[in-house]
Order: sequence, then structure tokens, then C-alpha cells
Amino acid sequence: MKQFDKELRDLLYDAEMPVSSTLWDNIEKRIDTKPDKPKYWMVFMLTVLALPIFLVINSNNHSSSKITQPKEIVIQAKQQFSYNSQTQIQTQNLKTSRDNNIGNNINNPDNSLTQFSSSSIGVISNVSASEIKQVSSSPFSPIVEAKTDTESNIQKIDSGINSVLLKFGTIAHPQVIDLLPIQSVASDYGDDRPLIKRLFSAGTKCPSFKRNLRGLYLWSDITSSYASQSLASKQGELSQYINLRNESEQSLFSYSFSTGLGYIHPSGLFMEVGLTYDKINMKFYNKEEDIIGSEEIIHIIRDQNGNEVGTETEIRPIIGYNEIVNHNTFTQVEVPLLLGFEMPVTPTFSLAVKAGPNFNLSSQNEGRIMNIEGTPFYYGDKSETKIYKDKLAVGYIAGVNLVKNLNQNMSLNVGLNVKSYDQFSNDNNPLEHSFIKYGLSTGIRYRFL
Amino acid sequence: MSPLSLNNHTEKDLIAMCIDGDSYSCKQLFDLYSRKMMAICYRFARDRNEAEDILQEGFIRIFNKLSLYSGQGALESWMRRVIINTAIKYKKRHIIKHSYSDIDNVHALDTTPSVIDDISRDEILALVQSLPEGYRIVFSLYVIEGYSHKEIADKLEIGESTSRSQLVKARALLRTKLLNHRKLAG
Repeated sequence: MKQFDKELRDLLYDAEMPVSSTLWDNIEKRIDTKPDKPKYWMVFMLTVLALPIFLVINSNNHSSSKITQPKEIVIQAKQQFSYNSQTQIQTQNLKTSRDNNIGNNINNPDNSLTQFSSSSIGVISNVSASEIKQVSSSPFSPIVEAKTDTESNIQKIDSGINSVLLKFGTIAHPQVIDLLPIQSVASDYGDDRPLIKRLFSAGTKCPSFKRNLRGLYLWSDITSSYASQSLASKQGELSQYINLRNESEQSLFSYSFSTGLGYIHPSGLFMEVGLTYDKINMKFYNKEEDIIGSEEIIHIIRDQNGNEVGTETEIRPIIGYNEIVNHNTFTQVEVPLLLGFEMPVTPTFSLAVKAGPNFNLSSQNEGRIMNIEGTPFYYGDKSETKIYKDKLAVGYIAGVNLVKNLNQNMSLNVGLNVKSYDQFSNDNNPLEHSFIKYGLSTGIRYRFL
Repeated sequence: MSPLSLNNHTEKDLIAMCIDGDSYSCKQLFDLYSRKMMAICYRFARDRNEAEDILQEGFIRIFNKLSLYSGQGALESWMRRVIINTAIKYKKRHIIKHSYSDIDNVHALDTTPSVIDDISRDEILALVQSLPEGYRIVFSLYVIEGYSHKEIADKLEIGESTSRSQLVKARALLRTKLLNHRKLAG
């Protein structure tokens, strides 16, 4: 028998048969070619990164637009000198011009040109004063109210950073500070150092915005995020299974909602505690064959002489494809405990950084994934198969926010945050499964004490 | 030399490009192995059309699962397994009712040393093809593909004893057909 089998095997194992020329066309239509997909997540992340920059630039443009657009503004300035009602003001260097022109104007009361300058901050503009009148009678500190036609003749902005400083310098003027409801600002003009040094170096003479915000506040945040899945083998080589899982699962937009109580100290340090409802959404996709109908075929078996020797009835199913799409979810309830620091960068904007642990209270999950044999199966709380924990250990959050102060009590914020989780897998799961979420958050703060 | 090297591609490169969805590489892989895989499919199928259906499903499966090929063992062996699994899956979906008049009466085993000496490969293939489907599949898996009865039983969801008896009957019937063919030819 072995000889008979061997002879047949030798003869038939490498046998070949011609294939219909149209077969490849049919196959090509049905295999998944993978065109380069646009990296949507990269576009999203770039957009999110660009947003704070855009807001800062936009706020500066708004500031400079007040200079470039012809309209009436009121300039209030304390000056230790007399002036001419037809004075033309040319801003060039705040420090030197103020000092020099004080002297010039004192010595030359007929001087028709008073120069204010901000050359160190890169902005030169001519502002012609159509009408300037004295509104204070004090001989030592007359208040000049200049009703000006602010048609700028020269405007040169060297960089966005420099233009920010112009705004600092302008707003930081003592008389203007009084108009700001939220913060008092103390500033010293004439510091030629770069903005970064002026803001952060010890003994800086940069404008310092001391915020009188302190006390308790309520906060709420909504975060939309992208959850990056991480799968690793607990033991043994399961790279093929991990590949299969990664191919069949992809992240969808996830979100979380948080609310809680916070306390901010006048120094800018703050602490927040709250409750978070967090959801991670994943998409499971699998395409598998399925029967979509049937047909019956009767075969007549004949011998070599053409005589009928039997029949064979075949019920042949019509095969189609069943595409399985399932939304997998991981839902957490958490208590975040965050410590942070808020640093004013303009009179109305602040930057806040915060980080802290995230205590998980419960985790629920449900969905469909591939098992190790490559067959889809259900898992989760409603299924008999549990492969994830009901409660996770501590995770971590870190974030940076841009805060817009609306008034003394209310502020809005937008920011980026990163959130890590403990392992989701329990002992039944051959893989270690965790997520890192990258989110864009928006929120509101309301100070009540 | 592997035919793959003629196109300055190693098998590994070709697989990588197929995984990337390069249509030309997929076509190359298909051209290299389709004729051999077609012969396998034909042994499981009733006719050429059905064999091509199986081959088509098999290659679609190969391209979709190619990323799971670990690189250990020959690609051809891996592809054979995928094609055979596809063929078995395909056939399982076909509920077949047999009504043979005299086939089950074939039990005798001819112990003639060789009955295939003067018969061409195509003729033998045709005779194997004329075996009843159940016999043919077990025969192909055991004799040509080298599966054990346990593996056949697992794949076809039948008992091992059924697999053995199907094989015995397949051998006997094929031998009879071969002898008859020789007599007619002689």
C-alpha cells in the first residue's frame, strides 16, 4: 500500500493545472489593496497644537488692529510736562522717548513732535493726534486725554513675540490697569531683554501680572480624545495574534466628562478633585464568509458506457461575505486629583499646567475581538467570557491649558492632555492591554468663594 | 533557483509588497503558485468551475492573511494549507446527499505491485477525479497531502474510523479504475 500511495503522491503532489485567465481579475476586485490613507490623527494633533498659537497671535492681531484701523481712541497718560494741543505723537522708543521728550518738551514747549517709542519691541508707528486736551489741572501730573485719529503711517512688526510685548507695555500702563477688572498689573518700561528672559529671569523688569484670584471654584471639562491601544504578550510569542488584533481593531473618537471642585492660591498654585466619566471607543471590523442563499443541483453519475449508476443531489449554498462591525467600549468612573500652576501671560489669558493621579472606581467593557484562533467572539460584562478587569488601579493625567478669563468669576479653557491607564486585562487574557489617550479638552471654571 | 529571484525580488520582499497591497506583486505571487494550487483545488472539487471557485476564495484568503505568515517554513506549504482549509470549508458548506448504487460494494484490494506505470499524470488525475467526493477528499488529504487520520477527522469533523474506511474504499476503487483503464488501453 505504501508503494502505491508513494507513487501516486510523487505523481500528483506537484501537479499543475491551467487557470482561467479571468480568475485573477475576479480576485483582484476582492482583495484589499491598501492605498495610503491620510493620517487623520496627525492632522488632528497638528490642529490642536496650532490652536493655542493661533489664539495668541490672533489676540495680538486684535491688539495691533486697534492701531491700524482708523478710529477714535482715548489715550490717557501721566506726563510730567506741558504739551501742545497740536502735538503729533510718534511712538518710537518708550523709555528713551519718554525720558528725552520730557526734557525736550519742558525745554521746548513749542516742540510739535512728542515721541513715544517702542523700538525695543519692534513696533514703530506714527499716530497723529487730531485733538489733545488737558483734563487734569494738576501741574505735576496732568492727565492728557488725546482724541486721536489712529491712522498708522508706519507699522513694522518684527515678530509675533515682539508684538505681544507691545500689548504688555500698553496694557501695563498704570492708568489702563485701573480699567481691568480682573488683575492689577505692575510694569516697568524700558527693559530691552527678550520676552522669555523678561518673563522668567530672576529680578525681571518685565510686566508682572499679579492675579487676585484665589478661593474655591467649580470646574467642568469635556475632553474628546484619541485612544492609542497597546497590546503586549504576557508570555510566549503571540506577535501574530497581536497583529491580528491590531488589524481588526481601530480607535474611534473617545470622550470624557469631568466635574469637581478646585482651590487656587494667589501664587497660582491650584488643586482640583472631581469625578470623571470616561469612555474609550474602539471599532472592531472583520469580513468573513457567510451563506446568503442556496441552490439545489442534481448530478447523474454514469459509468464508462454511459449507463446511469446513481444520482447525487447537492444543495449548494450561495456564499457571500458578512462584514462584522462592532463598537467596543471601555467605560470608566474615576476620581482625578490634580495639582497645577496657573501663570498669567496677558491680562486676560493664562497658561495652566496640571498633573496628577487618576483613581479608578470602576471599569465596564463590552465588545467583540478576535480570539487566538482568529475567530471573533464577544466579551464583556454581558458575556460569559470576561477578559478585562472590573476595576483598574491608578492611572495618570497631565495637561496644559490656555485659560481665558471672562470676568472675575468665570473663565474658559482649552488644552491638551495625556491620560494613561492601568492594565485592563485580567488573568484570562493572554495579552496585556492598556491605552494612552491624547485629548483636546474644553472647560469652564466658576469661582464662588 | 527560485523563480522569484528572476525578478530581483526575494520571496520576503514579494510578501512584504503584497501585504502593502501592491497589486503587481499580488499578481506575481498568484502567477507563481496558481497552477499548483489549482491542482489541489481540483482534487477537492467536482469540476473545474468549482475548483476555480475554491481557488479564488483560497487566494483571497491568502492575500488577506498573508501578514500572519510568520516566515517559518516554505511559503508554498503555508499556501497549500490555506488552500486546503478553504477547500474543506467550502465543501463543508455543501450538504451532499449520496445515493450510490454499487460503489460501496468495492472492498477488494488488489495487491499488484504497480498499476500506474504506463498511465500519464493527467489520466491518473482524471481517474482520481472520478472518485466519489468523500473518498477523493480523504484520499487527497491522506495520500497526497500527508495528513494523518486524526487531522483529517478533525478537519472534516468525522470519526477517525470513517476516515480510514473512506481511504480503504478510495484506494480500492482507484485501483480498480486503474486496472480497467489499463485493460481498455491494452
